[in-house]
Amino acid sequence: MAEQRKSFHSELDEIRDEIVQLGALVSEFIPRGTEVLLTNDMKGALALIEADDQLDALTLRIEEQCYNVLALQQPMASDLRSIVTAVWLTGELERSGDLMVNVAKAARRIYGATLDPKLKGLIERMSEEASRLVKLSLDAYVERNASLGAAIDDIDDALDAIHGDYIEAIFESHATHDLGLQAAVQLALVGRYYERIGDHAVNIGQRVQYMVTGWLPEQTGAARLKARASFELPADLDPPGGDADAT
Amino acid sequence: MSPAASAEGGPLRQHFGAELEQLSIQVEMMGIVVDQNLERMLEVLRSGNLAVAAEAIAVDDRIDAMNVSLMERCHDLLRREAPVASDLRLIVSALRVIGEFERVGDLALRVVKLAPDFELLSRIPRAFDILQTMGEHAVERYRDALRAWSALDLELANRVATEPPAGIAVSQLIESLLAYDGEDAVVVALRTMVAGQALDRIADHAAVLGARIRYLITGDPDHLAAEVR
Repeated sequence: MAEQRKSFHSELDEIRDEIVQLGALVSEFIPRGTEVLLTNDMKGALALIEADDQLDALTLRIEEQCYNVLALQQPMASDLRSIVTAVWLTGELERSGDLMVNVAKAARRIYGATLDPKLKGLIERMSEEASRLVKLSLDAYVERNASLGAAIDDIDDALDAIHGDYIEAIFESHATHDLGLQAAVQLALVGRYYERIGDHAVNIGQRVQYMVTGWLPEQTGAARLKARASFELPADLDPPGGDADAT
Repeated sequence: MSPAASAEGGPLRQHFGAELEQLSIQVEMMGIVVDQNLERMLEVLRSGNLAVAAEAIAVDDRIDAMNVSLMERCHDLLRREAPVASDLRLIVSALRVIGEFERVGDLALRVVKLAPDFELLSRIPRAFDILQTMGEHAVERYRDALRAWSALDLELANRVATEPPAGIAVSQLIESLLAYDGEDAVVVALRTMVAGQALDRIADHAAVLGARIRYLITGDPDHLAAEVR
């Protein structure tokens, strides 16, 4: 029986490989969706929207695989963190893919609108930056690089800055009547989608940190709470609103 | 929520069943604390009240502490009990649910931290009005999801999971921002969009919670698929 079962670590490797495959699909979606938007490519838009099914199917397969490993094996601390991280990562990547599908749908809605070169340039820059963030977050995962995972939050600032310039450019283009209201609205939404892909990459980075070190961003808040409870309140009083800890 | 079926059997399994019941109640407690912060968020959105904002920021640390503690508890149960079937589903769902709660809390904080910019947020009456509506809608959806968790209400979970997203409200918000041509139009738009985006995402997270709870109740993989949209 034992011989028939795959070794636990080979199952973990398989899950990691499938996450990488999911990440590769998402990474491919970003330039494809941007190209669709910038070139009014309706055939490409449809292909991207349909390709999302593949992404969804892979997401579910990985998640079910994680549950099977949890049910059939008894993973210890660090392996358990790897499985829980894998479940989280599938969600982050799948939602990033959905955001590029939203870009393709926006391209359909503004079909025929002319974008000025400044707007096009900023869309390209947001796309490149979002791709870079997804790639870095996946590198951090594959290499189990907690420092890189932690750095993604700061690296994401560049995308946020471009997004600010982009909104300003939409206003300028709309004010000079080059860009109609509906197109301006759709483009503003497109900017949000790239920004959110960056946020998902930041989340992946934080999950990688957790996988490698057991550190969660929430632990900073938890530590602050503990410090406040120790230093600001008399020892015989509970912290306001009850117990600090849920356990 | 009822403890898992595996509570039947020897004292050890009964103890495990009691632990699962305790876990689900504590997840609900975390959800309630997040709900209270959402109420503070609505107040800040209405009035820009800095004292309420400070209170919400402090409470978020408590939410973080609950998240860390509950996550450790779930991991401990997974390691110790090697659960299967509905027990495994409950623990894994609890992990997902507390993660979603924590994100909702962070998004609420994103709005709360705009309190010093309240003047900018209220500059355009129509945009301000849309923000209030979006806030109420997002909180309502979150509360439905929380109720679905507490009562394991399949119908409610289904409703939260399948209600169409409020994309139209975001479009309307952007339209109202584009119609404003004041000198500070860009900075007003950027701040307002941060708030609008956060509120929209709270509603999205509520839908994910609904789908997850539906899967927890039915164990139907098709319901798990519904979480992936």
